[in-house]
Amino acid sequence: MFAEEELIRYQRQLIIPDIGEEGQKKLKKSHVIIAGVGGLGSISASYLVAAGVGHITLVDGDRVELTNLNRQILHWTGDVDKWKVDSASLKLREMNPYCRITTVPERITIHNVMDIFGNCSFIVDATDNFQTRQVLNMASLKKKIPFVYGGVNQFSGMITTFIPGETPCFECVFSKMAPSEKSAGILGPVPGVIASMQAMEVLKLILGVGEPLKGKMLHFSLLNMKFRVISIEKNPDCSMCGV
Amino acid sequence: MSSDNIEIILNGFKTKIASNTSIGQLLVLLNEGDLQVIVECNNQFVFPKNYFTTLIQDGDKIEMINPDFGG
Repeated sequence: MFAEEELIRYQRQLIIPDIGEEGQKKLKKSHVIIAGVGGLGSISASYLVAAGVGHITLVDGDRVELTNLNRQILHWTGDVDKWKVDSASLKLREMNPYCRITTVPERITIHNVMDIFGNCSFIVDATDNFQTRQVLNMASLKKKIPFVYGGVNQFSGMITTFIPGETPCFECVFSKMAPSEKSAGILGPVPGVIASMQAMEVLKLILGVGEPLKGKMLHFSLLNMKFRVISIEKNPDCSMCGV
Repeated sequence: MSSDNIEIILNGFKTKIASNTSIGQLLVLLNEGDLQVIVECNNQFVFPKNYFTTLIQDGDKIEMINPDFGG
């Protein structure tokens, strides 16, 4: 299943007892959707590709802009005006040629989401708006696949893992929101931290190890290094996942 | 502190409020009644439908969090 070079490439994680060759095989067989290739997606995609996830689908309907470059570190100065999925896939293929990368230069909508997501097993939320997250939530519930939410704003970030049938869903938590469409101020390390955690959540789920953030939301401010975990129950009246 | 007041930790700061205040009333007092925040009480998420039936107790730790939707 693995080329000799892959065994060398992954050596430092293969020696972790909770991973080993069996775990690496699970990673190689996995298909993860990265919804958005901006500040969050640049980081989560990098770690998942580097770790040896076998198939990554990048979805983003935007082109690289100069204002992205303070935080979206898969996109460089020469990439301005390119599709983000093309800019990102170029570097990711160079990072790990053993990872299959599919690119979809489209905005995710209620009309195309089920086709785009195909047979993927995990959704990483790397979007930058509320409405697309509602669509991801719907797809997660319909396909019964985990949806790792992450969001950032200025110096703070939030993350939780939604697992259909087991945990609350996005709508349970954010049902009454009507957030502003204004661009959020963001400093690069903040999505860096959240997206690293999102990648870790996906890796734990694939490997079946550790304790993912199920029914728990981690919220932090990197300005004062305050981290807190909030317990969240399923909302029995939820319009999306309630019975 | 008057017997009609209780002391809570609100967004990290000691704060006195009237006893029998609900989370919904507190949100209104703080001009956060537009539901653009999520509320946690003692590390537990509070559903919006329970805001006006959840009475704040002496010593409660309450955080109002602006959700993060950037990426």
